[in-house]
Amino acid sequence: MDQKLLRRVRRRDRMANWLITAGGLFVIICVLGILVLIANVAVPLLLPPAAQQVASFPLPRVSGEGRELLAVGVDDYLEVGYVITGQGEVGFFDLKQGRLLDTRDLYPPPESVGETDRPEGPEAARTAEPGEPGEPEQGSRPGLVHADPLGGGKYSLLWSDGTLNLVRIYSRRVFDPQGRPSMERMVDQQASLTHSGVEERANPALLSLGRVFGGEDEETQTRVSLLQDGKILVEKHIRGMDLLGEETLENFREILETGLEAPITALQLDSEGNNLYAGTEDGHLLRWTLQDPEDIRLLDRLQGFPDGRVITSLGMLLGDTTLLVGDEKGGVSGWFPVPRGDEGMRVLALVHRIKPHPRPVKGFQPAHQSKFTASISSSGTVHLDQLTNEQHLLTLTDGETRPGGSAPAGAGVILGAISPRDDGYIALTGDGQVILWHLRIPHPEVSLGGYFGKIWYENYPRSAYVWQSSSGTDDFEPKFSLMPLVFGTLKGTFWGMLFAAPLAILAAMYTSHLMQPGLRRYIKPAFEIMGSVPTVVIGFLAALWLAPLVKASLTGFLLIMGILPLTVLVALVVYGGLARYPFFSRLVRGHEFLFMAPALLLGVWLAFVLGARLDTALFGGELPAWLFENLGVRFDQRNSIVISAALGFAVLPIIFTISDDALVNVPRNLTAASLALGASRWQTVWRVILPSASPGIFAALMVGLGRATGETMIVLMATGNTPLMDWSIFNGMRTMSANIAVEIPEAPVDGTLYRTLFLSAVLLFITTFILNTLAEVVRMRLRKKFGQY
Amino acid sequence: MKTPRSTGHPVYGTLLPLALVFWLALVSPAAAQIKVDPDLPEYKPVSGVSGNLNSVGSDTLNNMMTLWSETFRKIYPNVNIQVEGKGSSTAPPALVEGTAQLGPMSRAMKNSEIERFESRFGFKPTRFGVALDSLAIFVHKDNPLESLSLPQVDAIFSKNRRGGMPRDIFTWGQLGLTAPWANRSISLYGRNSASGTYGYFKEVGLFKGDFKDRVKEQPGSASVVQGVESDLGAIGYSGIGYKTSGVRVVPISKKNGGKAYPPEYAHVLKGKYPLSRALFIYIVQTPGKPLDKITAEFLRFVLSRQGQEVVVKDGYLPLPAKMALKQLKNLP
Repeated sequence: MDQKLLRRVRRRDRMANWLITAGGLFVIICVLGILVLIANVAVPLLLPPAAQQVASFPLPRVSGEGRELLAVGVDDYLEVGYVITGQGEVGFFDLKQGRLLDTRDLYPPPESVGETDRPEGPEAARTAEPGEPGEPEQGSRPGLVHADPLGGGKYSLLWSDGTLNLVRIYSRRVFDPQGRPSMERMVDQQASLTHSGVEERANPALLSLGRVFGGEDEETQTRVSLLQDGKILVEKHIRGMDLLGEETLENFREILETGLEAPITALQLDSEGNNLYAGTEDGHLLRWTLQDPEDIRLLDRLQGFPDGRVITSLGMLLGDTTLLVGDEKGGVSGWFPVPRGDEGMRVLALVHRIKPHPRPVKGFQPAHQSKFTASISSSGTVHLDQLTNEQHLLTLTDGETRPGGSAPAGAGVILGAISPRDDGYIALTGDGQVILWHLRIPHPEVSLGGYFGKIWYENYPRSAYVWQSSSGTDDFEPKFSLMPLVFGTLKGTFWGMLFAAPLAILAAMYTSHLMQPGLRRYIKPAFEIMGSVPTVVIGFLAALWLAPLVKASLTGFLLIMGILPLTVLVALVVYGGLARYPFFSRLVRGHEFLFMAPALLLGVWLAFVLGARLDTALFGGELPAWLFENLGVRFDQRNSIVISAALGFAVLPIIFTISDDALVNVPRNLTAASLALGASRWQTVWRVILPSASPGIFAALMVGLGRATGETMIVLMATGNTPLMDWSIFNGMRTMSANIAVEIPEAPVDGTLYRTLFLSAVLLFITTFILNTLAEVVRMRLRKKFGQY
Repeated sequence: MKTPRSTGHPVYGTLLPLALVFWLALVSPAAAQIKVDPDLPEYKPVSGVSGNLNSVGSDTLNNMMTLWSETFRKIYPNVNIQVEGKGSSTAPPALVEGTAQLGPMSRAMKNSEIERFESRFGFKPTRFGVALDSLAIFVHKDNPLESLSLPQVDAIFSKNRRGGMPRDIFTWGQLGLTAPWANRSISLYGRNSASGTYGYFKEVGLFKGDFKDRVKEQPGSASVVQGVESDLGAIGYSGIGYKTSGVRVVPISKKNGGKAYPPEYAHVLKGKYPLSRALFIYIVQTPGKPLDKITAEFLRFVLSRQGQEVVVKDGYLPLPAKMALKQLKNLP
């Protein structure tokens, strides 16, 4: 042979080899790249939360020192911190340099005492500067007794003269004419709630909580006071508008008694002033509803802890549903009313227990945008915990040695607050240090346990797998359980494959070896055209045409499953009888389906006619209603029967085509040998061809399975996207792929939902990857066993 | 078992006009019923309006914003308007960061959003109500249900029943219907979670509870209506603009036993129909400084008769003249 040519051929061979290898590698890299890209978005979900101490300095001198410090706080930008002193002043300080900026008075200006109006704007709301007229004399002024943080820089303040007012402390960015920003510190007086004027002197309030709730037309002010004799005074002022547009004001007043020996040790009111909670010295928890001021009722009075421990602190988690309970043993727990029994009763129940403190719990600082809370114990450490999934996020301790000497023993955090954006924590220690931590807790609401385990959500009677990711309100508790989605994906795939796989493989067996070869040339492309129908069209037809049809003649559809095999059997008997005549046998050979098709159509027709008859005779006209009434089975119009057919229709052509190719490629010598040895056509196909082609058929099934798992448009349109966990064929499902398509458009980029959707994409990817790998392994084994076809 | 009945006597008084309304609804498309208030001012073009306008916000308002800007640009060809509708929550950040002059929202700003705005600018955002919308509860046209109360709606759609109903409602019999309806189970249809309608219904209709898992989430308002049309035992919610002849709108009362109102324009205006809301555009209006001309003219146009005709065209409810005029006063 020509050496030159040979070399050229070899060279080209080598080049082709490289090219193919490079192409293959490129594909692998691309696929891996996609996986990395998707996973990259999802990974931050699983990163642990972090805190970084960024500032620590001694609290600058606030005027009127020597009195108690009642609260500490920080602004939106983590630039300005403040403390509220027992003298009723707020002292602002710079968090970078640690110097005092200014102090403001918090006592309500005299003209606003007793008034319910909100100030017009921030300008009008600024408290009087020191020295301005109207400022009360320093000596005669009442002191501040209690500061109750309401979150977001708002406080309900109780003064020693019984006055209660609501203030908001914040700082805002202002720009001078040159456009340079600077911070302006603000104090808004929001409302002032006075007693209706009774025996304050004899029985002063130890503790008062105030809440204002409402809009422009209607406003409810609630003030709850724990009196010295252990009773609770509830006062409500409701300002509204009557039909003529006149302003109305209603006042309500009621004294509540606990009916218990032990005194109240903690009191908490939700932000709308509708529910009042109290904890006692012997571990009792009480709940009153104040919603209807004419019907104030005690809803719960229960022994919260069997060992009768003192309840030291109560708090309300964002959303006003979960009550945080801290006790003398350091236990932190979440409670909310849980539906019990049939009649809509809701009973306060212990739902979440989180990591306990070593010492009694002193106070809670719930986060403002998420369902986690900070808690301080008397040991001076701060815990940050997510309630929903009972995850301990962080422990903050003052670990750093300070400039100018070490911390004296026993100095720990005594006051603290989460910043309004949940990105920082400011604390005041017993030895007068201010500490600021930057928090990085981007996704507190999710954890691996939460994705795959049951969780007890607010307002639910028990723990459950729930997917309900979004809502129109801020205080919503997002529910990200991937289980219903994984389940839905498996369910859809299962019913779809159950429909498609037997049909496709049997059809392939028939067309490849039993049918007239000439006909196969038309049948196979016909199937392939079927495979090219856009899935959106299939989904559309399934949802708009098939679903109502299935519901209308459900009995017929169910009967098909029984009647079709029967008709086939009858047709076979008839066929057997006719086959004795050589004329018929020659005519039909290879065209058997021409004989069977009418029989099948007849069977379907029979099923529907019989179904309609049965419906009127037995099921009162509608099988779905009958099923529900007698068996309790709920039938949904968008159900697995529809999905089975639609998804089956979509994957059938692929399975058919690949199986058919595998079957056709079994060498003719095997078939010929089998037939020559006297095996019938059926025996040949069943015993010789099928095993030889099994690796190919298996591959076809796996490709079909992958397609069914990832199919989006059909399930999106025809399943109803119901995240149920129920194998019933009479209801739908929500698959991972459809879920991504439904929810990604409005998921805020880099938010928890967004990343969770990417995580489910990774899950889908891995599922498909595992399926394909498994398929390849099994195919190799089958190939080894049955020869190389 | 005592089944809660909301169909008390007060309803019969409204039955005749109601029937009339339904008859009207059947013979004429919904949009044709609503007439723009003739007292709305005509929009008169002024000179010297040109430049760029950016709008970032609600997807409910997206169509309407696009229609408005198209019509506006016919008047002022030198104006360039970009409309981005990715949900109401995207509007406040866009205003605060200055990437948009207009922030269309299908709900009022949350307190936290207003506070953030205030922290940045030192004043509150200015709100313009630009259209009204009412969500309707649809049932199959053959369904004899007369009315529902909000707590009943909650017990039908929600698994938490925060509205206060003691029991779950899952058959039509529990709503007082007789055979053959009594034993039919209720088939639920709703919008997908990405829509503002979903969020609004969850807040008002479900009292902030969660939807049942059985609620079939449809990708669009039209397919909710289509689902109800083809499913005898169905109930679903979506915008009133999507009503067809195959479905019936159920009047809603605020409380059990209260008077139920259909989502008619008149009841929405008076605040009698509980599932209605206003749609807003938020802007940054510095006190004491004139608003830039293009934004002011756009809002003047939106609040004019031409602008409100666009609202009707898009299937929403127009503002009454009084409300529009009151807001026009706030414009320079």
